[in-house]
Amino acid sequence: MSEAILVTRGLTKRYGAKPAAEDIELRLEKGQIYGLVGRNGAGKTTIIRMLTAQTPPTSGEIELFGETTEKGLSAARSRLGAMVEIPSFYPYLTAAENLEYYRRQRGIPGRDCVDRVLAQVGLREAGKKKFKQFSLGMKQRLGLALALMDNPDLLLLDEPINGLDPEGIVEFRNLLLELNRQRETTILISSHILSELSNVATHYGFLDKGHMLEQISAQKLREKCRACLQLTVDDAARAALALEQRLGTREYEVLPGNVLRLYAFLDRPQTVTAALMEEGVALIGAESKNANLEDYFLRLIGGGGHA
Amino acid sequence: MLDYLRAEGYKVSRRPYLWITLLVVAGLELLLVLMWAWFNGDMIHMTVADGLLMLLYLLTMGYYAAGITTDMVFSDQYKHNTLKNEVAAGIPRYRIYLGKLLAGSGLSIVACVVLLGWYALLCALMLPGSGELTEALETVGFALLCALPVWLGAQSLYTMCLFTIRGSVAATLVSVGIVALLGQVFTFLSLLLALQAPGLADLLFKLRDFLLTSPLENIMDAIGDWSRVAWAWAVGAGWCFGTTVLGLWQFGRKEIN
Repeated sequence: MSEAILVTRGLTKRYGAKPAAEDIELRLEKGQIYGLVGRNGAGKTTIIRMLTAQTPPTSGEIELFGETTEKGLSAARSRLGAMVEIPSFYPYLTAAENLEYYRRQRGIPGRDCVDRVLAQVGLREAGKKKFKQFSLGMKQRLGLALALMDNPDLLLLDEPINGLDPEGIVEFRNLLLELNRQRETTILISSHILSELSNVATHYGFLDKGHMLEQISAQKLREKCRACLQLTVDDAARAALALEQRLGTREYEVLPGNVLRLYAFLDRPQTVTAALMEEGVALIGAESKNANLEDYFLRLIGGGGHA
Repeated sequence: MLDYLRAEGYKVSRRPYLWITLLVVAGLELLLVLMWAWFNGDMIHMTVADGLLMLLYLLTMGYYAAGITTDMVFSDQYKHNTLKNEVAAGIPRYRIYLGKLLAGSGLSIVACVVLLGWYALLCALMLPGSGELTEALETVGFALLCALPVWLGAQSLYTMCLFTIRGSVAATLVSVGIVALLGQVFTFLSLLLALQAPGLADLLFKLRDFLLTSPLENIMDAIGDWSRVAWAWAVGAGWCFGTTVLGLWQFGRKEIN
């Protein structure tokens, strides 16, 4: 098993009786990019705020780089970079001064790291501009610069691409992938923009109303989201037999409720229908499916909502 | 902690707030001494010693100046939402709290030395000298020895209120209320209860002795009385300790939104 960077056990946060996050079991291994998916109020930010000590958990345990005690966690947090909600800095200081302040506070040696991260996030020219004059996109970039300043082993990013322009989103994605590839930085990222998340994530966690509905690897998810022909029949066992014996394919899966997903013969549905009829299987319904991350998420939470 | 203090020093030194405040106070001092120098003659006769002794009437300003330096260091953390950057980086909350308290206290002492030094220099340059200068310096020194601990006690109170109450204005008003009005509230209540509950009234009146403003009351009559210095340090230390423990406990369990 790979090295666990972050593990949570039964992590719960309640405000009064209302759970903001309930019994969250996370496990992030070194080098993973974990996408946290959920609607507004699903509990994504609450989880990240608990991980970054902004809010104490009601119950449960956090293990960060193998540390679980309060003192150990404080030390371990110096190895993470975080960007939670809208980045906040002192408005009367410039971008470079803000970063220099935090560099000194965290005891990071070498003033050149400020210039390095400003260049890394595309703010080299804006370093002398006061934070109060920044646009939302620039604030997001500066927040990311702060998160990257001490070469973190773990990055926690809450909605990091909000306010970025399309070019900024591409740059941001490339930066994350580069950090992940070159330094094996582990990344936990929550985002509403699921199509963008699907470009980087290696693992996903789907949250709804404070509960973790499912955790799945990107590979497994891709398999689940593959284009298929979904068949509803009267006898799934006989239908499976027909697919194997008459069509010679095993590229299907049987779901509860006499439903089969067939990943072959997508361009020849009439051949499939004929094979089933020859086997004496009654075809109740047939549907062509081609799900993406958004469809999958909406199906998981019961549809209707916006991620 | 040293890194934390260095960072606070860096931040505060880049705030126009600090330099503008210092310039305004230094300018007011210049204006005051210039006025004395201008009007010095038959009616008014201000010497260097008199100028320095005037500081005794300005000691209460220290309570409010502590509020300004605390505010400079605290820098509207809740309004700008910047505490999350510190907490998320694994800086323990006690270090954040004590770091801001120490940085504020250090800034107060430096600002006090600069402004008093400037005032003394202005008096020495613009007012005529006198043989009572040594005595005046001793008097001012003694009064400052009494004032320093209670000013620092006020600094701790401001720090606690700024960490506990989300709005800086509200926190400052509460602190100023405690410093300036609590003595009068105790006096009023003790007078009110004098007939109905003399024991309670007596207790309330005695409680006034433990307020931050008490050691500086009638300070001119207590010059050379070392028990006054001991009392001032005991009261200052008590407020520093009490408010810091309370503030640390409160901030330790606070949600950073």
